Amino acid sequence: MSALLSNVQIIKSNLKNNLFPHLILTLLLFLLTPAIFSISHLNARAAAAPMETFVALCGMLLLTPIYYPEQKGVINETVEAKYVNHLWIIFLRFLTAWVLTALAILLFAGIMLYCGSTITGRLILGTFASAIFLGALGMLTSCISENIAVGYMIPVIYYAFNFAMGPKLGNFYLFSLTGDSFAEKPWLVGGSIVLAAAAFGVQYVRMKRR
Amino acid sequence: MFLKECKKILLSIPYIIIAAILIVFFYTQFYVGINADLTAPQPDDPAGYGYYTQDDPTLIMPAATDSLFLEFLNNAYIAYPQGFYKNVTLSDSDQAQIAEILSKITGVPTEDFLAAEKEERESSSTTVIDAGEEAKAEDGSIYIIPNNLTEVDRSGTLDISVREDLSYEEFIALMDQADKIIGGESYYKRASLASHFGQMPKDYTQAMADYEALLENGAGVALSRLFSDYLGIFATLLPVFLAVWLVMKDRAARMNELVSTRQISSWKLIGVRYLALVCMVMLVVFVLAGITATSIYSICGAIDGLYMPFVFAIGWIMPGIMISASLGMILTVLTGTPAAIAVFGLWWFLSLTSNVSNIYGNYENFTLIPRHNTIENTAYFTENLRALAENRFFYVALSIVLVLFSMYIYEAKRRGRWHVSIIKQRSNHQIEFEE
Repeated sequence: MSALLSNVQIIKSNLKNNLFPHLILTLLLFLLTPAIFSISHLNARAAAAPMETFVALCGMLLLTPIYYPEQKGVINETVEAKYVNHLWIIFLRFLTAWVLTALAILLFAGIMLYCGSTITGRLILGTFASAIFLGALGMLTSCISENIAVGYMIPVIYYAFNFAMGPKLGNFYLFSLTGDSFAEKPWLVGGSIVLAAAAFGVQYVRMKRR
Repeated sequence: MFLKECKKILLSIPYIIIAAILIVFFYTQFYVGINADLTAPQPDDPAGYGYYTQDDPTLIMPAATDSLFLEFLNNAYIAYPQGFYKNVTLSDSDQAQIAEILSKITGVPTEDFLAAEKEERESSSTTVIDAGEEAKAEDGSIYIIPNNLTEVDRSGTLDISVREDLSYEEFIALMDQADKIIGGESYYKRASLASHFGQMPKDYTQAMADYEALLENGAGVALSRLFSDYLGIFATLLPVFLAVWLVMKDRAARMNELVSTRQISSWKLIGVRYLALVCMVMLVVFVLAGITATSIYSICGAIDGLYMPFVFAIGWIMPGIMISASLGMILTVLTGTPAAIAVFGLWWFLSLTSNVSNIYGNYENFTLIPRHNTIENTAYFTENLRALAENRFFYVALSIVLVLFSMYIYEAKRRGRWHVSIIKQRSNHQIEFEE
C-alpha cells in the first residue's frame, strides 16, 4: 500500500513540477489545430491530416521532457542516492507521458467526432503510433545528450523530413494514414519501444558507471 | 574568447547534428538536381518539359467559374489557409453572396443558382468530403487533392458560361470577393487564379527558350537562389536549438553562478556567444556554397556570377540564422526554459506552410522564409528584389535588437534584478525531495 502511495506521489510530483507547462503547450497545440486544418465533416482519410500531422506532436511535447528535471542542474548524484530507484521514477514518468498522450489524442478525436468527422480506431491508434515514435526519438536523444534542446531537435527534424521525403521514409513514415496505409504503424510502435528501451539502457549504464 | 566559444560549439553534439542535417538536406534536395537544372532540354523527351503559367483570360475565366459553381453546389470550398487542405462550409447568407457573384459572372439570375444548390442539397445524402489523392509540393508539403468535386453529377443543374461583356479585371475582382467570403487562400484568390486555372504544358521550343534565357540571365544567380531557397528552410530552423543549448548548458553545469561573479561584461559574453554561433552555422553554409560554385563551374565553365552562392548565403540565408539564434537566446535567457523551441518552431512551421501555394516566388509581407523554388521566374526576382532586401534587412535589425535585449536581461539577472522568473520554477532539490 505504501509503495502504491509512493508511486502516486511520484506521478503527482511529475505532473505538477515537470509536465504541467508541457500539458499547457499541448492544449495550445490543440487550440491552434482548427485554425490550420479543417476538423469537421471529414471522412477517415481526410481526418488523418490534422491528427497525424499536428495532433501527433503532443507525443513529442509530453515524452521528450521526462529527463528534464535532472537536466536542470548537477543533481544526479543526489537523485541516484535516494531510496527509490531512479530508473523506476523515470519509468513512471514514461508511463504517465504515454497515458497522457493517449488521453490527449482521444480528447481531440472526440472533438472531431463531435464536429461530424469520421473517427476510426485505426485513426486513433495510428496517431498514437506516430506520437509515441516522435516522443521516443526525443526521449532517447534527450537522455544521450543530457540536454532537452537536443532532445527536441531530433524529433522536430524528423518531423520536418517527413514533409520533405514523404513515403520514401518507408516503414517509419509518420503520415501514412493520409495515404490510407496502416502498415507503417506497427513499425512505429515497435520502433518507439526499441528507442525507449535504448533510453532506459543508456540511463542504466550511466547510473552504473557513476 | 571568440575562438574558445567557436571551438566549444564546433565540438558539441547539436552542432554536429545541425551540420549533418544541412549537408544531407543540401545533397538530397538540391545538389542531385543541379545537373538536370543546367542541362539543355532534349527533343521528344517522353517525360515532357514541365508546365508554364499562362495568364490567359479565355482559359482561366471558364475553368474558374465552373470550379466555383461546383463548390457552390456542394457548399464545400477548398482552401489552404496554412498550406493544408481545409474544407470550408458557408452559412446561408454567404452562399447567397456566392450565388450573387456567380450571377454577375454568368448573367444567370441569383435565384436560379440558389434553387440549383437547394436541389443538389436535397438529392445528396452526405456532406462528407472525400479527400482524394495525396499530393506533394516541391518543398515536400502535403496537399490533399479533392477528387469528388470534379466528379459531381451536374445533370439537371444549370448550364452556365461566362458573360461575354465581362472584362477580365471585373472577373478577377469578383473572384477575389468570393475568396474573401470563403475565408482566403482558396483557388479564387487574385494571386492564385492563374496558377490554378492557367497551367499549360511546355513544348520543346519553349523549354529551349527558357534554358537559353537562364544562361543569358545568369545561371549563377538562378542556382544560388535555388540553393538559398532549399538551405534557408533548415538553416533558419536549426540555430534556435543551438542557442537554447548554449544558454541552458551553463545552467545545467551550474556555471551561471560562476559566470555571474566574473568580471566579464554581460554585453561581451552574450555578444561573443551570439557571434560565434552565427559564424559557426555560416561556416557550414559557406562550405556548401563553395560546393555549389564548384558545381556551376564544372557544368557551365567560367561564367559570370560564380561567387553568387556566397553573396546569397550572406544576403538571404544569414538573416534567417540570425533571427533564429537571437530569439533562442533571448527567450532562454529570459525564462531559463526551452520555450524558444516551441515559439520559434511554430513561427517557422506557420511561415513555411503558409508559403506553400507560392513556393516559386514569395518574399513579401516580411515572411520568415522567402521562397523561390525554381531556377526560372527570374522576372519575379528582379521585380521584387527590393522587397527581398527589405525583408532580410528587417530580420537583421530585429536580431540585433533581440540580442541587445538579451544582454540587458542577462546583466539585470546578474545584478540580482529580475529575480522573479516568468515561469515559476522550483528548485530541483525541492522536487526530488517530494519524489
